[in-house]
Amino acid sequence: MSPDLHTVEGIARVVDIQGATAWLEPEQTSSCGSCASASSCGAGARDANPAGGIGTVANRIAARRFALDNAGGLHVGERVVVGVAERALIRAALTAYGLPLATALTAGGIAESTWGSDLATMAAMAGGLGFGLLLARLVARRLSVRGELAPHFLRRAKPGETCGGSTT
Amino acid sequence: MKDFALMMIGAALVNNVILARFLGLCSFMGVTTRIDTAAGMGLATTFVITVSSMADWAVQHYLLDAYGLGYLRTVTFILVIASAVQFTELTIKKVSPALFQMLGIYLPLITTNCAVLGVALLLVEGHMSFLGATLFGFASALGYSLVMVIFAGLRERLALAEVPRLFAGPPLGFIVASLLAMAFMGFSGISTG
Amino acid sequence: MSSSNYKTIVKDGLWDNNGVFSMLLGMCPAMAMTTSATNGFGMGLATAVVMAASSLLVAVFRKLITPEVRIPVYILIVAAMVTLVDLAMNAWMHELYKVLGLFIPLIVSNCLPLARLEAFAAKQPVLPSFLDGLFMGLGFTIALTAIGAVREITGNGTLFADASLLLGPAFKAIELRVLPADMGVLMMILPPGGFLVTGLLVVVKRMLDLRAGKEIQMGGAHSVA
Repeated sequence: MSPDLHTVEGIARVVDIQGATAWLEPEQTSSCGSCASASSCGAGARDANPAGGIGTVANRIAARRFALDNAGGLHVGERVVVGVAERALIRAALTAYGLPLATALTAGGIAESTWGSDLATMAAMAGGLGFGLLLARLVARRLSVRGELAPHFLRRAKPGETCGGSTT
Repeated sequence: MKDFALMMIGAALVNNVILARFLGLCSFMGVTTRIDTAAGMGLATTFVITVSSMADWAVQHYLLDAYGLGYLRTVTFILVIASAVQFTELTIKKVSPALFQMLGIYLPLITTNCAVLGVALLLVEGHMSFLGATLFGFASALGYSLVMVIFAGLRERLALAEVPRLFAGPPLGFIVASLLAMAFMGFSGISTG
Repeated sequence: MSSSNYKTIVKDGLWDNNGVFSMLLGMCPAMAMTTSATNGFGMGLATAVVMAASSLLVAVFRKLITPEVRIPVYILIVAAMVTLVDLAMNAWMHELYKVLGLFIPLIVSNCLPLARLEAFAAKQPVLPSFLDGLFMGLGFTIALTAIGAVREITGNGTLFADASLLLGPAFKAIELRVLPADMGVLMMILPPGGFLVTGLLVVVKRMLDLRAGKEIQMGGAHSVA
């Protein structure tokens, strides 16, 4: 799929152009397609309601719309290949999930050794979780500004090019 | 402190969620074609499992035990888990839309992941304190993530190999998993009290 | 509905589109609860009951369930059926219940019932849906019993050991010893054996499919109708 180990490629379609910004929606890739429960989790194939609705695929893809600078003169309907730094996914996951968990567990541990009651620990963990989420928001903002999270334009997609999963 | 550490090692390695307890196998086969997706899925599941362990413990103690509603455990736990997934989705979306774009796709898969419900049911059987239950959930989920990433690394290598057509895909994955399971059995020598 | 359609449902559920070997769903209990043929059989039957009952209910209410809420509704229906089966087994099949333990509630997160509800029961009338759920569950039972049998014979040398204990005294007749006890490979009953035997049996199914001239299925749920 991607010859360069440091950039992960994905295919997206241009859905809107607003001035110098192009809005793209990702094409549904196969992280769900190879999962055996694809048909039951509602995120694998097109659902009965193509117009969208809570939990449908169309709604989900629309929520993942992202913006690119329209430097390459893109038109609506074009398919492009975008790249994301490989580390970006892991870094994003660690920020969004790892940070709040770390603060929550630390807070809980401190509460348990200080007070030792279940209720106090619960409250401390909830507080720690909230604090961690706020921290995550700050870190995410910094990462976005540095361009390490957002995808960047690589090239136009060739007519038959797809982003399929590997066979094993 | 030492008890917690031993319990966590037990939960993560000795009784590994995937390789010893056979939970979470659908995602184990489905999302491990690349290391970064496996890591993303693992971390998302860790978050959901930890949060839902906390919520399930609270529900068990303050609702089910208090009112003798033990038979409703399956239904209430699955509701709590679904809510935990929704909560995670909404929270990540609010925290950072950029992060949500990258990570959101894994979340709906987690609701039907047997590992989440399995870990919740296990910690109820263990009769632990709140912190103990949360750490148990967290450690189990870390063990899950570890195995997912290891397996993804193996599959990335396998993808480059020529495989007999009959064995291609899941069967080969299972055979490799059985070798991994054998390797992890080495941890059973650790006495976790 | 024509009778040939019913025949397709039965054949698909039992073998052609077998939940475990063709669709590769429901892997967790398929490997965890197959340390012996009896365990596999018991687990499979429990799942079959849940599948038949929930397919029936979903088909009855299918016109009322909107697409947006269908997944939570399916999960709740399956959870309710699982609770019933759980309590019933605790009361009437206590030994088997203790062996299967945690995996009875885990039927809720088993991909197979949900997949059949989504692919079949949501769109088909009541009787075909009930039969689909039932026979998919029976196919699941066949698969689990097969995996359990292979693991038990290679691991322990017995077949259907403890059947009278777990299923009732009438089943004492099927308890067999196939190989001498010291010829068993302990690994087969332990987790690695679960993965290995399941993988190899999937390959066997593919070989049989090829010989019958059918396409090899790579996994994923398929609809019958």
